[in-house]
Amino acid sequence: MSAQAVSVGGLSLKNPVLVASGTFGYGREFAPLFDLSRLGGIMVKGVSVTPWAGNAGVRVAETESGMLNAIGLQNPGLQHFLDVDWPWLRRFDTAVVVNVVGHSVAEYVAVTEAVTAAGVGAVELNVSCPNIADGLVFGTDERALFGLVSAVRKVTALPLIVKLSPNTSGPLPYARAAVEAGADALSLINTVLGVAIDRNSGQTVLGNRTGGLSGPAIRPIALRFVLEVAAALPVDLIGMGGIATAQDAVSFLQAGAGAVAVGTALFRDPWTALRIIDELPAALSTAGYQTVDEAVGRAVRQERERRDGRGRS
Amino acid sequence: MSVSQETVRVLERLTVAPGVCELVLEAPSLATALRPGQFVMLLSEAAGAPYLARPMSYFRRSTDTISVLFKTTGSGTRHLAGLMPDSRLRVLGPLGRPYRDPAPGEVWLVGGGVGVPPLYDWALTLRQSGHRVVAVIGARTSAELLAVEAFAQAVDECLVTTNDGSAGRRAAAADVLSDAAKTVYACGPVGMLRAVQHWASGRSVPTYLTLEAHMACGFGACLGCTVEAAHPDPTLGAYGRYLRVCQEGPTFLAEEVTL
Repeated sequence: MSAQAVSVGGLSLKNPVLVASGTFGYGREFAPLFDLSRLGGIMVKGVSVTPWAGNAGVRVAETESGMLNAIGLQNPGLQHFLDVDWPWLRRFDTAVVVNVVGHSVAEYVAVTEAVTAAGVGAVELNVSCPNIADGLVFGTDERALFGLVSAVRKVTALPLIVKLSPNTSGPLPYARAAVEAGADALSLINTVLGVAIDRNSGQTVLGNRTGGLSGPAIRPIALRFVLEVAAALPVDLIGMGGIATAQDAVSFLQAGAGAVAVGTALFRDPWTALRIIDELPAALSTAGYQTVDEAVGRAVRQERERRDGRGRS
Repeated sequence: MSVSQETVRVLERLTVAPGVCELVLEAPSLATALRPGQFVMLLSEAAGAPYLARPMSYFRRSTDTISVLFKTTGSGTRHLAGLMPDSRLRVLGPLGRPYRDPAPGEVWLVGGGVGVPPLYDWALTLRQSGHRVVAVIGARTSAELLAVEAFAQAVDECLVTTNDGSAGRRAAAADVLSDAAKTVYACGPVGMLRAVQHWASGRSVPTYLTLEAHMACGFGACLGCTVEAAHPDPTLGAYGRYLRVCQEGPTFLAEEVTL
């Protein structure tokens, strides 16, 4: 195993840098730019059981240090993924994680069953998209989340990852529910709900009114979620939220993530994930680590001691 | 040529009209690679610059430079307009599909307001390949007319329109389209594009509309810049409802999109 290789929730990655769902399509737009096999993994855009159109009107708006999106999970659907995208993607030597979206437990189960049979690397349940009408139902209701993850767990032996929402008072109840229901790993975090107002019209910029904030603006929020869950639960984490440099990646590892995903930064520079992969060994070594695993959770022990100390007092 | 991102130098910043700026960039490989109708994403890494890059059609090009012409409308364009010569920008390109070739006969180019830039190099290209080219340059008022002299020199006939009659004909740009036009390329505000689209409906004149949209990436990944398809591909189901301006466009046949 090379010093870069890691395992997260039973998913083996050649390096700890993935690309985040919704920022990489199914890889096709990036393939002319670089060899996708260099990536630790690809978390593909959400796949639903039938094709989804996505939202009408303006879908992206800029903010300082980030962006708001209200795409609405536009995707060509399961059959298209199985017939077109997966046969093309599987040629690359990288872990393919299928992000699964749905309006009901049955839809999540159907997509998970089908992609499991197709032989993808892992499943990531998107229970936290703020841009569809019922997108937050599973992510903000512990019992609904437990039910969903339990149902999906029954139909797949693949590494099962649950992507949690930051639009809650805190991650722990949801993280616990997901883990108790059988999740192997958690992705932290999805986008943060926000609004942009047009200075001229005084109206919301986005067609959907609200959108999901991503980019460096949310990095501290994501780090907090990772640190809090890492300190409380023995579950593997994939950290994401505003990662744009190797140093950002190291911070997430130290906070307790076993791997990281690069998202919005890919829009301003599609080569960002590659640069992080290239620069990570030096960034780790500067921080005094020989391997990725040595860095993981350096901040967690302190967090646990702080918490336990407070618990005793 | 494949898409690349390079750091380029600002050579000149010209104030073309109040609130309208032309930036000339030293970008030899893009100057060679870009084809008329394509665009670039401009990213400034200066302190206080917006996080995302800005999509821009190129306006003029020489052997080793390209220029962009834009109106200051928000924080992104304000930042770009404030760049001094010698500042650096990262430019991703070439992006989008080039203009499709015209049918035989007269080609009309309709540019409204700050929509004129992509049409200019296309005018030069069309003239070089022997087409007779008529340009219609329109704006609300004379102060907002852009690049009239450049077009007047580049094309066979240049018509100017303003909504208030302060220069040229008092008309909307689309109103002066004539049946002499055998192919039309239009770029401008959505109201103008709708008028051109209306003119084209019921005529068998290939009419191309170049669209603008909010974009995060410019290369097809974010799905942020969609436009409604007039005739969705039935094999795609609901997914076919929208087309990406950056990837399937930025130029569409008038009958392909619902504006």
